[in-house]
Order: sequence, then C-alpha cells, then structure tokens
Amino acid sequence: MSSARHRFPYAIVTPLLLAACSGAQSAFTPGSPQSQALRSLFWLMTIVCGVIWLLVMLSLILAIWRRGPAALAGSPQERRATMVVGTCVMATVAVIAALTVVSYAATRRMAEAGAEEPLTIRVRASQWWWEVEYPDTIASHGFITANEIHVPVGRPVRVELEAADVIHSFWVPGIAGKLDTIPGRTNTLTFTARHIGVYRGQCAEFCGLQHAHMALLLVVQDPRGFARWEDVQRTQAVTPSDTEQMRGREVLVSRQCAACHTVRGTMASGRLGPDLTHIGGRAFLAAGLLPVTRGSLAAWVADPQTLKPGNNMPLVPLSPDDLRAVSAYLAALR
Amino acid sequence: MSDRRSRRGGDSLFKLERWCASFWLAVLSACLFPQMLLTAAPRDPPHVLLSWRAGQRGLPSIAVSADGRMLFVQTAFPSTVTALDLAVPDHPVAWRASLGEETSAEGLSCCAPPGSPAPAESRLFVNGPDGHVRALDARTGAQVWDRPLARIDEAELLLGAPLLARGKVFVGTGNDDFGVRGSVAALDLSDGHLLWRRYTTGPDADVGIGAGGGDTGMTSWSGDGWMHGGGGLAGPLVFDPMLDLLFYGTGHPAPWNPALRPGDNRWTSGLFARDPATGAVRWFLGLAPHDLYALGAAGPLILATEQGNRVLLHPDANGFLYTLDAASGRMLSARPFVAQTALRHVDQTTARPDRNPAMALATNTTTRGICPAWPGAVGAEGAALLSGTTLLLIAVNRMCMDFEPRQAGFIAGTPFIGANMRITPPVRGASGRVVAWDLVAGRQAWAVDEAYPLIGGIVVSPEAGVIYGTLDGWLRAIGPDSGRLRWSVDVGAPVPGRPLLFVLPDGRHAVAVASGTSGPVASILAGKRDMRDATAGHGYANVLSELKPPADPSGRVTVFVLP
Amino acid sequence: MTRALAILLAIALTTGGCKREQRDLRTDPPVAAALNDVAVLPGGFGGGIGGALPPVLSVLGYPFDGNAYQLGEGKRLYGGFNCEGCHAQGGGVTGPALTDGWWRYGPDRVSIFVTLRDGRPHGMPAFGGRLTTDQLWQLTGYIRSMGAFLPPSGAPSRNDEMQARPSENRTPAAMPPRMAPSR
Repeated sequence: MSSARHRFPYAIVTPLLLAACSGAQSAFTPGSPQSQALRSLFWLMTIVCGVIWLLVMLSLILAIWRRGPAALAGSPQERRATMVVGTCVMATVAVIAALTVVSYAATRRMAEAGAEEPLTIRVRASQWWWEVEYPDTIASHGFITANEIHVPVGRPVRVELEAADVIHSFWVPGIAGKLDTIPGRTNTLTFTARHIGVYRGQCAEFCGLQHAHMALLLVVQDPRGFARWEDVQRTQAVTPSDTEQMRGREVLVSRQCAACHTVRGTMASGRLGPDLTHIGGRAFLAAGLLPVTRGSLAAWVADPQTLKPGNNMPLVPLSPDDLRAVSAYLAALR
Repeated sequence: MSDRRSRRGGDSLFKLERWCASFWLAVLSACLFPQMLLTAAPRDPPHVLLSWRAGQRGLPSIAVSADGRMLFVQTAFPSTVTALDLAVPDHPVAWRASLGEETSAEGLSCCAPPGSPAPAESRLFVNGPDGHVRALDARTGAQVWDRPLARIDEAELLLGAPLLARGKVFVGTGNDDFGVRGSVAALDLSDGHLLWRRYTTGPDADVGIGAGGGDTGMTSWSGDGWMHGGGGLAGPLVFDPMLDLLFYGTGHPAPWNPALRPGDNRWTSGLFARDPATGAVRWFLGLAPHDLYALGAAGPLILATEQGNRVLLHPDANGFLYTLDAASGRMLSARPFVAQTALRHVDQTTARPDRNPAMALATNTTTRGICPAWPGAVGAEGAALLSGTTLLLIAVNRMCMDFEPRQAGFIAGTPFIGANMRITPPVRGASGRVVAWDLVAGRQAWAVDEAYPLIGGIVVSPEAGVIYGTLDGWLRAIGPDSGRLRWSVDVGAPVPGRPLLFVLPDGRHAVAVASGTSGPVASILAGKRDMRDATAGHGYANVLSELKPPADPSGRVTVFVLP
Repeated sequence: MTRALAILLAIALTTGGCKREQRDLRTDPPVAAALNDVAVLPGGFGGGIGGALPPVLSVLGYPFDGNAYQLGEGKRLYGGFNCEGCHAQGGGVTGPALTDGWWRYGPDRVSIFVTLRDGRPHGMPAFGGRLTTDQLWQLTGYIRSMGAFLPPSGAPSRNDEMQARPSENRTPAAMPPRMAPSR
C-alpha cells in the first residue's frame, strides 16, 4: 500500500521526462549533422561529467568511511594528500580544457558553411507566429508563407532570423540548436537536413501570453518534392471553383480580414497577419494550434480569442452564411 | 605746444584705432554673417504690380498666357481657377471657374506642389485635385471638356502640370506614399478622350514595352507588389520637338521600407523616353534599382544642345547630376553636385549606383546620417539653365536623415510608407544652397547658402538673374555670374513653389510668385504640426522648428515688375 | 488588530494597480455590436461632432479610458493601420497633429470614434470596414492619450528612436504653452 503510494509520482514523472526523448520535437533523433554534433557533444559531456561525478561521490564516501585522525603538518600523510589534491586539480583543468575544445569544435562545425550555395530562408518571429520568406534573385519567384518551413534534404540551409516585436527564440530540436531572434538584429543559423521527415519546433524564449502556442513545422523533403512545393507556393491563390467559395473570397476581401492578411491575386495585401495564399495546404493553423481543416478554420475565424486568448486576430462578426463561405474559401486555398 | 602735438597725435592715433576697429568689425561680421555682405547694397527692388489673396489655405499654382495678358491662378482645396487681366489697370478678375468641392486630396497629396494650369491658344488645361482633367475656355472660363482620370477614392492623384504637345494633353498620375501605381496618359486636345495610358509598373503591355521584354515590371517585384508599387510622375513632363520624344522621371517605389519590396522594383526611380504618338517606350534608364531611401527620380529634366546633339540634364534627388544623350538614353556622365553619404559613386555607363554599406537599412533599426534626406537633394522644379551659357542653376537641399524602416501593409486609400524619418541639417553649413554648375568644366562655379531648404524651385534669365523663393518668405534675385545678391523682397509667407518669369503686354519683365502652404513642409509653417514630435512632417519638423507661421495663412499670388 | 489592518492596507496597495493591467481579451459579439451604438449629434463640418456614448461602455467600466492593455492595443493598431503615414508619431504630416490636442472635431470620444469609423473630409479615410468595433475604441483611447486627454497612468509611452525628449503625453507640466494654430 505504502510502496504503491510512493511509486505513484515516479509513474507520472518518468514518462513525462522521457516524453521529449523521441518524436518530431526531440534533440535525440537528429535530422542534420548539426543536431548530430549537438547530440554527440551532449552525450560526451553527460558521460564524462557523470563518470567524474560518480568518482567524486565514491571518494567522498570512502573518505567519510575511512575517516582517521587529522594529519600533522609536514607528515607523509599530508604530503600524500597534497599530491592527490594537486593531481585532481590538474585532471579537472585537463578535462574542462578538453571539453571546451570539443565544444568549440562542435560549435564551429555547426556554423560551417558548406561549399554548396545555401538555400536562404528569412524567418520573422511575431507574437505569436512565424513569418517565413523565401527570397529569390528573381524577386517574383520569392514568396511568403507562415509557420511552416520546407527544405530539401541534403542542401545547406541558411535561416536569417528576425523579430517583429519582442525577443523570441527559434528552436527546432531535431535540426539545430536554439537561436534568439532579436528586434532590429538579424541572426543566422545554418544547417543541412539529412533525413526526410517532419520536425516540430517552437519558440524557446518566453514572449508573452501565447508563448506556448508558437510552434512551427519544418518539413524535410526530397529535392523534387521541394521544388514542387516551391512551385505551388509561388502561384497566386486559386480562383474559387463554386459560388460559395466565390462569396468567401468576396467576404475576405471586403471585410476586416484584408487589412491584415495577404491573399496574392486578390486585393487583400495586409502584412500584420500570416499570408493566407496557400493556407489550405498547410498542416497547422495559428502556429501549431489546430490542424487545418475546414471545420477548424471556421472555428478559428468564428472565435479566435477563445481558442488562443490574447492573439492579435480580432473577432470579426460574420453571419453564419459568410462564415461558412469564408471557411470554404480558406480550405480551398491550397 | 607739446601738449597740442601730443593731443593731435592722440587724435590721429584714436582715428587709426577707430579705423582699425571698424575694419576688423567689418571683417568679423563678414565672416560671421556672410549674408550681410550680400544684403548690404540691394539694387533697386522690384515694385509690386499686383497682390492677390486666395482666401483659403494651400499654395495656389500659377500660369500666364503666352501674350502675358492673363494670369491664371488655381487654388487647391476646394479648387477654383481665377483669371486676372494684367493688361487692364487694377488687374480685375476676368473670370472664375469652380472645379468642384472635392477636398480629400488635401490629406492625400504629400510633397509635390500642385501642377500649374497649362494655357494654350484659346484653352486652359487644368489638373483638378478631384482627379479630373479639364479644358476651360481661356477667355470665359467655360468648361469645354472634363475627363475623369485618377481615382481619388484610391488616393490616386493627378501630379504636376499638364503638358501640351503634338495635339495632345499629357498628364501624369500617381501617389507614391499611398502605394498608387504611377502612369502617364495622353488625352486628345480637342475632346479629352483617352489616347493611351502607360503605367510605371506591371506587365509589358501596361508599361508600353514591345514583345520580348520579359515582363520585368512584374518579375522584379515580389508577389503582387507591382500592383501597389508607386512610381508616380511627381516631376515634370518634358517634350522635345526635335527628337519627338516625351521624357519624364518616375517616382520612388512603395512602400518606403525596402525590405517589404525585394527586387529591382522596375520601372520606378528611373528616366523614361516615350513616343508621344503611341506611348511606346524608346528608352529607360534606371537610376536607383531597388531604391533604398525612396528618393525617386522625378527631378528636373532639362534639354540642351551640345555640339549638335540633344542632351538631357537631370540633377537627381540623390545628389548626382546626370547627363544623357537624349536620343538614345546613353549615359554621358554623372557627377555629384552636393556632398552625400548614401552613394559611393555612380557607374558612368550603366548609372548603377554603388551604395554605401554603412548606410544599409534593416527593419526596426534606425540608420543615422543618411544624406540626402528623403525630400531629395533637389526638388522637381529646382534647376534651370541660363540660356546662352553653360551654367546650370540648382536649388539644393542639404538635409540628412535618420531612417527607421517599419512593417507596413497595403490598405487601399491609406498611406503605404512603413518608415519613420527625422531630418537633420547638414553637419556643416546651411540646409539650402544655390549651386551654379559649370557644365563645361563639370564643377561648381559658385554657391550661395540659404538658411532653409530650397524646396520651391528656381528660375533664371539673363535680364532678371537667378530668382528663387525661400521658406522664410523671401523672394531673392542673385546675379548669375557670381551669386551676388541683387534684391530681396519679403512676400510675407513661405514660397514652396517656383516663381514664374514672364513679359507683360507692355514689354516690362515681371515675376509672379505664389506663397502659402502645401504638403508636409508648408503645413508645418502654417502651425498645424506639433514640432515636439521630431517625425512630424516626415521629419521636416526637426529642421523647420524655428520658422514662425505666417501672419496670414491664406495663399497669395504677388506679381513684381522687375527693375 | 493593527497587524491585520497593516496587512489589509498592504494588499490594497499592491493590488490597487491590477485594474490598470486587467486584460479583457475577448469582447462578446453582442457587446461589440452594442459598442457601435453611438448617438452622434448631426451637422458640423463634414459629419457629426459629439454625442452620446454607447450605454454598454458604462457597464464595462470605460475600459478604453484608462486600461493599459486596451490603450496599448490601440498603439499597436496606430502603427499597423498606417496612421503614422499622415499623422507621424502624433506630430502630423499631411494629416493634423494629434499630440497638440487642438483637434478639428474636438477631444470628445464620440467624435474621435466617428472620425475613425466613417472618415472625414480633407482626406481622413474610413476605417469602419478595416477595424472591428472594439479595435476602433482601442484606437480612440490611444489617440486621446496622445493628446493628453487621459490620465498618463494607463497611457503607453511614445517610441523614442527618433525623439530627443520625453514623451509629450507624459510631461504635461514641461510643455510649452499651447498656441492656437492659425487655421
């Protein structure tokens, strides 16, 4: 009875602690050489420090166990103790120096730019979502999306991080270490994704009410799939295919939506909120809050402040028909 | 005896002392207040022929009929045209026509002074602030035709003055600060129907480029940027009958924050030459691809003949004087006429600017000490060529600015700027300067400083000299050979426009000058701005804070007969 | 007894500012609709001036007059909806100054709300279709705070990148005397 009561907290805490050790948002399933280097460094440090800690604890216990009379000054025992302490200090210095060198080398390797021309992505963090811009030398080939980064496998990627309002931190544990985004500064992060897959990331610096709901998705694709995705993103928004979607577009352009959101190909050109040109093709809505479905889009538009209190999207009063039309149109924007 | 001698000696010594003192005082004051030397001996000032009060705020725009008999005055908000008869004593109002009650343009028109009416034989062509081009009967003021062209509800305005040539009226439109696509339109002189209209941005068909252009007016913009990309025609339209070409400079791209418009942003901030018959592009020279500081290229354009070739002189807002072959658009030279920090140099063949990396911009970051400031080193009417010589007179603004790009979204009918600015005076010297540029030597011949920026414009003739108005309400004439002040008269209100030189029916030379308030600058002068905010008037408040508002806020037109 | 009083006093003092920061993030649609019920006095220059506030404001406790969150949201909207293009940071450009407090249609809440919602002659665009009703009220509150018509306790400070002196709405005593503009 009593042992069961004692075991109960461990039963809850242990899986919680381990929950972060696998899956889409884990530093232990590296998807790039950068996160691999981080993981090796982590294990090296943990093992070395663990062993040393064990040795220290053992000698401490031993010392308490075999406690004797205090050594006299100048006695052979004292000389031996001095030598032991001296050796330990030297060993500590050597270990710390070695770890510093290894850590420096790992950081250096992470920042190393490959010979290949990197894919440049500009990520602008706002309260509480991510604007993702893919610039191009031909300006019209560049595009803007939100909360979802796609990269080709094997190609170096250079992420330029900016902040629109307060300090945020960009962290996709499976791909790279965290890096702060600071208003008025551009920080750059480089990585090369080695494994195709979906990695989740999130803001790692407390940034306000909805800090917890500021996630992003990093999708590593094969180069062909990435090129296809890019081609889709470059296009303007699809033209509505039925009267309901048509009405949805009309509502979106004529109501408050257009002042904050962009739908390329329509008069909506706001920059305060995420670009909606291809929102129907994204996996998540409102920075990882809900999966994109017509229903969740409708729920979000109907009452954003209940779903994500404090976010910057106001409740725009729409009639049920308008709401249905807008959700149909948004879901069709693939 | 000795006493007397010593006293006499003392007298002469005293005289010498006094002489020395006054000499050094004069030298000192000449050094401290060089203006004093100039103002010391004004030659007989001109006398006032006529002073006409508009009775409303805003700067009137003025034009004179070819025979010098009629003075046309157009007021802005609401817009009226008044014709004053200069041939009759007391100069009565010949007629007055109203152009509607539209006033919303007052809040929409930023920087360009309203375009003057364009008189022809028996007609007067007027750009209305309501976006309509109108033809009036020059004798009666009766409306002949009325052509709506610019959509005022989307903040689109008619800019500058209409140009009459080849039986057409050429009109420029745009409003860069509101993200309106600039365009030039040709209307038929007789009935006002639209012959062609060419835009600054967009697909080649809209711009007037033939097949194979590659639609760079779209591809050099990201997303739908070209649809609200600015490039308005705030500067003059110039026609050359010898080459049969229409020239103009395009305004800056919108918004001001360059990070929001990646790409070269064609065809903004460049010079166009078009075929006046079809509007087709003959050549284009981009002076500032991806214009970082939103200066535009809508500056003065002056045609001249050099060794039988037609050359186009363009003192640009960026502080360089461009010389081009007018027929081909080939660059001949680009020389800086004012100290600036934004550019390191300009390529002498491609016009591509080499920008100073220390003055790069980043969103939410303030970059300080960018010279010239956004109003440009020279205004749209800020240069004139002294006929028969190779001397170009330039009214230079020597302002610098602190610039902070901000996020901005396009909402039709609202400003599309995305930047905070504060204008500062130059490190050394005054904010304004008249520069006489020797075109042959390629250097400055002389220069005269002015306390305030010379946004108004400048005119010059061999008889009258160089005439310009200042923001503290002076109309000045200086000699074209040395810059020595001839006369200076107080017109009582700021002169943010260009004076008009003409010959009266009785053969006397006269200058007409409009004074009053227009744009962000002059509304500062009218006391409508809060000078404690350094960004007021897009930062103008910072350099004009010591100017007092005029006693009479009304617009006014004064005609002086020259000595 | 004294100790209890002291504790009570301490609690009262430390929680006294809570109302200022209270965040009402969501306005119920019926309340938002009721917020639009301003009774404007007809006439005036190009639209109504003054009038009666929506009754629901008193039920809500006038949150747009002193609540720091609502006024801060107003400031965010001021920057995001291109107000700076015509009014700068309160000093005015082609639009009139806001920090001087000499306003064509007066400092009255209803006038400002109607100005924002319906626009005015001389170029003020209508924001009724671009902002929701509660956002219009947030902006109204912020604009009144710029003209120092609200107590400075709840008003957000001005951006200082471009300024060399403290914010106008926070330093009323140091202001030069207000001169009537010559218009």
